[in-house]
Amino acid sequence: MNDLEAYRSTHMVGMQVSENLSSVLRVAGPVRDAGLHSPLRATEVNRRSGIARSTLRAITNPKEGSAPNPDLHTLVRLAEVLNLPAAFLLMSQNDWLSIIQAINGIRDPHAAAEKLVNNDGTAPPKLLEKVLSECGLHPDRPPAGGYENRTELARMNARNEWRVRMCNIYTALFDKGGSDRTSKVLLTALIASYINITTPHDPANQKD
Amino acid sequence: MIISDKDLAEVILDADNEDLGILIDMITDSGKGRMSLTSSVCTQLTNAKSTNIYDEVTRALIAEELSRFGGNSLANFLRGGEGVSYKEIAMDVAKRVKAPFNSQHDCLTIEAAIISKVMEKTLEKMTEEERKEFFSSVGQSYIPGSGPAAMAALLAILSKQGMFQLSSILANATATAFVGRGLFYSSAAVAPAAYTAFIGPIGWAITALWTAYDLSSPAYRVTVPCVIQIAYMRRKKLENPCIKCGTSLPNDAKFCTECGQAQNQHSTLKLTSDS
Repeated sequence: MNDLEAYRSTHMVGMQVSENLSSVLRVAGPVRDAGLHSPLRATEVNRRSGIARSTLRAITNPKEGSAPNPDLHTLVRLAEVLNLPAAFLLMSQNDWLSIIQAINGIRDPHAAAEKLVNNDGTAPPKLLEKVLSECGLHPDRPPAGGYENRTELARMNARNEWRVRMCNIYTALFDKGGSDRTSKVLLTALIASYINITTPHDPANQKD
Repeated sequence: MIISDKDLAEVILDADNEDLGILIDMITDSGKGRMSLTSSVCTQLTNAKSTNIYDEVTRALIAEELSRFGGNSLANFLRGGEGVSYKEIAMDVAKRVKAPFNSQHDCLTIEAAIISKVMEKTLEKMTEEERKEFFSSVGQSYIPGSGPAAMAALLAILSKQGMFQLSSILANATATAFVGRGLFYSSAAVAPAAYTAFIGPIGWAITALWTAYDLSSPAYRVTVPCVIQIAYMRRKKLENPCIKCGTSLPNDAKFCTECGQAQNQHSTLKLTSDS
């Protein structure tokens, strides 16, 4: 990722935080009679989190052309006030839709994970890859017929490599040990499904 | 009726054994089984294929499994694995590949839209020379360098006048790509070269469908090839082309009214590139 792409990416996430926070603060106040929502006022946010009103304003009403860039401390304190995981303040609608799609596609990966995870909760190495393989989702294979298309073959190999890398990354992220078998099966299934639906069509050009 | 879905019943109940065998291979992943396919059903289907006995129960089972895979593909975590109608499956595939259709269309029309769209995608990936050869093999003339508008116009003509050709070519390539063998049936309505010469480009286009369009659910690995195969089977039944000269015949014709060829040899004809 070059500097411009990194800037654009940070800008997008910053704007997403602004939008999320603004939306949530509009309804996060005390519930009124008849169940009506009320806003959570900046003074209240300041009282509960110690975040200055000016800091909050800079996030919810950024200057034209700029995006907020709150530090981790600010993000975590705001999330705590709102009783939200901090990560949720960063998420876009597309992020949520991807998770929903992953849940919708969980059936086969769940069956595969059930088959592969042992009764004592242990599992073979490269579990995520094996789950995807059991479901016929990895690796992509060239069609029969012997016709060579180097561009398509390169793209296919890139997708396979991308998937393997993501399996390694998600394993490191989630497999901290100690979870019970049921949780392990469900989490493995969900992540495998998520990796499947988020595999880009062309990893060399992830704008598509 | 043992198959309640009329759009499947009219195709599957009197389909040729070879065509049903390809459907079974698509559903069972050539007998290897699939995560969401019970082993008993897999065994029942593969036994039918190996004995070449496709009784009504087997045919109904093919329809039922296809309906179930369709249900699996249709955002169905909350549906509990119920099946869906074939028309819903076809509409879902058409919507995802962005083929133009509306819900009032019958399955024949929806399938044609899917076939055209997939061919369009395939043609985009071909070289100019390959496009010229392809159109020539189906009786059209394409001048390399004519551009996407000319290609789209030719494809529109072909879709209107030669949908049986298109669906045969696509079904053959799909079957080859996914189950390792092509159609068993050959008709003079389609030049042999058209069947075999484009298996490669079409195969690559089909395998790109999962991520080119929003078709990532494992169930689409079954429903998309099956929809293409069923589209071909429906067209074949509708047009019933003479196996020798390609003339469209009534379904119960025993001999061609044009060339006199006997017509009850579908299961014994084999697709060869030099026929």
